[in-house]
Amino acid sequence: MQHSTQGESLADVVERVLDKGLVINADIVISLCKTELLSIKLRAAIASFETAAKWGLAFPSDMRIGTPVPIKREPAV
Amino acid sequence: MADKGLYLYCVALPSTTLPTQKEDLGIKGIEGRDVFVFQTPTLLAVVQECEQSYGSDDMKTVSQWILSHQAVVDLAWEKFDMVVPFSFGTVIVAKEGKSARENLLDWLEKEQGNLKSKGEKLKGKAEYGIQITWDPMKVAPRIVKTDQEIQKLEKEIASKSSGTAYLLRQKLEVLVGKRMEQAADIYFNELYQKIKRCVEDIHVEKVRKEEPPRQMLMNLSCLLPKGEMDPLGEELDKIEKMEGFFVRFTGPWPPYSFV
Repeated sequence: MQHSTQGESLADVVERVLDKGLVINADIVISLCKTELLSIKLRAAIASFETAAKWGLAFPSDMRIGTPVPIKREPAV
Repeated sequence: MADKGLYLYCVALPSTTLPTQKEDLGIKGIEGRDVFVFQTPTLLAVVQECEQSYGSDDMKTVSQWILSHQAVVDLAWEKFDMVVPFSFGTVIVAKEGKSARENLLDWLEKEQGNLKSKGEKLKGKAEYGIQITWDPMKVAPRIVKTDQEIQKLEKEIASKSSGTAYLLRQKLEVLVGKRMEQAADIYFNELYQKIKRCVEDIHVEKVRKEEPPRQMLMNLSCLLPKGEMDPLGEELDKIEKMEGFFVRFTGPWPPYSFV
């Protein structure tokens, strides 16, 4: 299946497969790994593959104008 | 197989009656194992055999397992039209004298109403990922130019001695940061509302770090009927044309975010 219009990354797949999908709360089920911890470790590993991202940038010359971006915004009601 | 577990990928509504209760899906799953379909009268489960507990500290191995999970769910989605995907790492185990298979079939029977209703709701629909990033360096000049307080402060800086100017520059830095944050909130809400109008359901996800200078403003998962992309596409095209804004669009994905 052609899956991506702009090239999905491992981070895209991890975001869905690890963090989402149906979870069964029943004693007949075990989780393969401690998923929350795994998610953190995996994200760290993915990040380490790439250049470490830094917030902010120089403006207008030596000034830093990092916009503090919250992890998650909520839409206004 | 009494001491084996069953790794559960997804549940699907059968599009046709399968001839047997256990059918090979024709794909290798995690660690190259065969993937099967178990069928009840109303549902089917896509599974593979696995140990009752295993894991890995090697993130490359885990990444490979995650990609295998997605490949299997993707194939099932193609084959059965509708799937309810499970989160990575769901293993049904043998317990209290019952095999993992018996436990799975019991659970499917018990949950069939709930699973069927989820499945029917998601039939013919797909999930898409939308990530909007901006380059603050390109957006900031527009904001700075129109902000009276910032303009006033810049004039003051130009007219002061270097010591005072230094302190005022620090003040300016804070103020510009604050204005950018306000702008980010406004853009977030404006773009969210525009996108929401074009989709059937929408979830706001955590933003990810981007390569500087870009910053991710919003990370959305959207659900919409397959093939009804035009209004959303037009909206995303408009956003892409905004100076300093970038749109990343992925999909179709099985509906992981909407189960």
